[in-house]
Amino acid sequence: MSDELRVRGLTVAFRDDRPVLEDVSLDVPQGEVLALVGESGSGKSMTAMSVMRLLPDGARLSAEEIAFGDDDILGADERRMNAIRGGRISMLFQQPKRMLDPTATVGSQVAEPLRKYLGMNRRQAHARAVELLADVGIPEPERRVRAYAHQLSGGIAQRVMIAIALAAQPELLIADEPTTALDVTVEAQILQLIQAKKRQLGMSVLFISHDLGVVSSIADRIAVMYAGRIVEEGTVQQILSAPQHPYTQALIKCSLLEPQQDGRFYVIPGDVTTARTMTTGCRFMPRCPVTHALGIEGHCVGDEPALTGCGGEGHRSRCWATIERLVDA
Amino acid sequence: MSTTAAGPAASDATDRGRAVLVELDDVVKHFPLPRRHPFAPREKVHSVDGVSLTVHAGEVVGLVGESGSGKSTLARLVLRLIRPTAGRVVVDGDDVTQLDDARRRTLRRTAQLVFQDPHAAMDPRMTIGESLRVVLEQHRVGTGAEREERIRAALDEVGLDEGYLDRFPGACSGGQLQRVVIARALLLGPKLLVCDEPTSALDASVQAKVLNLLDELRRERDLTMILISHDLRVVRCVSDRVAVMYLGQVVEVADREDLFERSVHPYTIALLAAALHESEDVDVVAAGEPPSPIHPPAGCRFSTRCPLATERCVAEPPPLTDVGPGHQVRCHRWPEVRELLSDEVMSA
Amino acid sequence: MSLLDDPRSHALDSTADAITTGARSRGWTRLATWPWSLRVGVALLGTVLLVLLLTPWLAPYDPAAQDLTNRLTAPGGEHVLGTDHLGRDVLSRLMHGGRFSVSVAALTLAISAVAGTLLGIVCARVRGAFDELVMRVADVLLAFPEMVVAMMLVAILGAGQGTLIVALVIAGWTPFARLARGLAIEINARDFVEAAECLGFSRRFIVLRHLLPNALGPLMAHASLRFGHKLITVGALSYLGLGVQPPDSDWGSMLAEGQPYMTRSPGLVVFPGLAIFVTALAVTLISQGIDVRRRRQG
Repeated sequence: MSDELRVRGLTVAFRDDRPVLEDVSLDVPQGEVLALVGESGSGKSMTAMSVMRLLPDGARLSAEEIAFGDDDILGADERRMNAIRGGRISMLFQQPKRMLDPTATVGSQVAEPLRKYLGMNRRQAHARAVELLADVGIPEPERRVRAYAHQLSGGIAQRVMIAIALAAQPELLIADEPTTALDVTVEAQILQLIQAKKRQLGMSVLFISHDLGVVSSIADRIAVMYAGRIVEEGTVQQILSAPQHPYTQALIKCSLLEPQQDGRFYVIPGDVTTARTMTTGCRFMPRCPVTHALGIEGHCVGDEPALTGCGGEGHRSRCWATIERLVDA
Repeated sequence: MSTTAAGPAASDATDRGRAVLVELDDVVKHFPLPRRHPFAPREKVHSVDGVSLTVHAGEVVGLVGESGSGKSTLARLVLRLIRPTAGRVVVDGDDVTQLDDARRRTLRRTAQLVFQDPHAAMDPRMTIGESLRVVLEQHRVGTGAEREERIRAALDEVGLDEGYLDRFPGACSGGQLQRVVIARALLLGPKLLVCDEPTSALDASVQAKVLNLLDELRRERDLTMILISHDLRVVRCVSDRVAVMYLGQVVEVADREDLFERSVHPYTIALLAAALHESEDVDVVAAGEPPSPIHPPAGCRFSTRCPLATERCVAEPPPLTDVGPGHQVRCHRWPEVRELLSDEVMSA
Repeated sequence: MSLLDDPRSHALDSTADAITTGARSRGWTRLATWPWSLRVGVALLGTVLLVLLLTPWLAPYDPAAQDLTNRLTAPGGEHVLGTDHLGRDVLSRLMHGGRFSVSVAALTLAISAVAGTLLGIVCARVRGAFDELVMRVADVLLAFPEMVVAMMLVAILGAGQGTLIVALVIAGWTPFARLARGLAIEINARDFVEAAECLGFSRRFIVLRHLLPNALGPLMAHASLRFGHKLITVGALSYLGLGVQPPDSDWGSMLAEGQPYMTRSPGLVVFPGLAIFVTALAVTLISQGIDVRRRRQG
């Protein structure tokens, strides 16, 4: 069974407001790590929630396809989704201490997916839970298994969450900013752990983050999102060494936090809220330095460009400059 | 480790000729924990354990550390939001260690705090204009009209137009709100600005904006700043001097260049490696989790995770030793550290 | 987990949501946005309150007027809801009685809510021995059902409207104190309160401008839930003869008086019971509606 996540044409909107996600398509082949990178409001978390069909009330989802292997997620009923969530696709969140049940012990939470998806009885599940805790690098697991969420540090709590997420050996792990709330040294350890588990279980990972640095160490491919769209996608190499989309380029410059000539940090002019009110054209255009430089304002204002190949294999960018260059070439 | 060009904070205020604005003298803060039963011994969280630090007027001091290092507690000690268990805190010439309410209020006009999470730092039920106005009202500054002028000017200074006055915090983005928080902190004209992780909750593109703003304001108003962050890149570009904290103690303090190019404490090196994503295997530099601040190790507090720890390190707490001009470190093995860790960690 | 948060909003980027789902309007005027529970609740309660308010002009008969020739008539005809065992018009007694029931319930609720909240906030601020003392007293009081406490107090203080109110307030302040204390402790720990302290605001200001407005939501929700309970308690106490005294009526005493004649004239029991039920339901629906609306708006 090919365990590949396929999303085509995903669009999410709230009531009568602008769409939050527009025509998002992505693939996560088996065993690969796709990083979804974007800032607040880019829609990256919303994409993850859409795949898990966990959108809040009032959200309307439409797509050509959302499928994982043979499972049609788009058309699945709630019962099938419950079986998929935790069983085939698992999720990791930010702020692990908040995501754990404060009234249940660590052990019982790790045991839950074991009993639900692997059909273990209480004793078996408990024993396996201890094993899993040790497996994620938690010292003294027999003691920790009886601890409660508030007694754990952020790093340990995230390890517990990983143990819970991987207990039923899912085929896809969706990690939504799992290290954002953690200290730097702990973050490095957690990233290492996720990579080790990925190799061990042969699973795919959809890794969501706003931090290009974090993503560079763990991802195979990156998709950059802006204002609810994917604006560039490619391998880590392609994106970080030869970014084509002006937003990606600007984001990389910002992330480096290196002072420029005038001693100040590079700032992307304008605000992401300008994209909210636009109905046509490229959403990044109001902030784009390239559109003026190349004199292609006409295109950028009028039509939103499609994702187009820009050189490397599998490297695509949603930018008129890219399309223009192809035409010229 | 890249050689950075002088960042925006290449200020001329590093000359130690300027007056001392903040002095922390062996400051200790222990938080008592509730007893488990009436006869159990009283346990304490050793949040800050003997920190001494001097900040000169116009300087930017970066305070780096992870959770549990005590850096946030230290900030609140400087601002006298909490009282030290021991030691002395002197701000702008006044010993503020034991302060009554009236004098504490005056301190509010000298030193202010910028918070990490702008959404949490603003009352969600008050408009931005109201939040700013009450600051002036509470300190009885100016007349009604003068106050309006001042808050408008304050918003303008941080690059926000007066349309924001009527907005609620919920309708603003993180970056915009953080600028409001900064504007609010500057309303009373403080000399010292303590920024507790001012950009950690913000996106990459917004971080740059806020940092640029802080630097600009610092220059215009000749502010002294204590910048707390766990992100070394932020600290690298903005600080004159950097102090690294671990489990309540300062483990290394140096001028910016010295800390980034010539640090000699294993923990600092670990932080640099992790923050700059230069090490593949972090376990080499800092394995496991920090020990509990309720029962800190008897010897060197970093010994439980340090790849270079010896028996002496475990048994004997190292003192803060001078290593160079303005450079101090708390490590028994400091002369050998760089050499020993160079293979695993230092990349050209 | 906070008393104030909706945990779901943490899984998604709340900033993005604020911008994305449109500005959070605090406007209550757009009726279309009201959830159905709120609409029905307000409609019901509005009707009840209007009727009770206009009772002096609307009530067809004097509630105390006896007509021994017309006892226990069925609903319909001259007496819309029939007459009781003394020939008094049920509808009029219901309306006048309602004024008593609802006003006492509302009054005791208001007093216990305000007193309890203030006490709770003081406890949260002061902590220490005072806090411990108040909370232990609250624990003791909470061990008994509100009714039992009220009964004991009325027995000591004597029956009557005034003592009824006092008894209910003493019995009813504890949940508010507890809730307010919990909320206050939580809000005090929030950054913006620390910011206020840092900016040198006076303690009084912090309590009045920061604490109370932010605590009001859950407190009001709790108060409206309690209203139904209070109404029933008032009714129950009157039923036991500890509330209003004859010839005055209230819904509870009407239940008591009508009980011996239940089989002959079920309306004597059904109508007051229905009145209590509908009013309590209306308030509960409103509280639920407010909560639904609050959660929808994030």
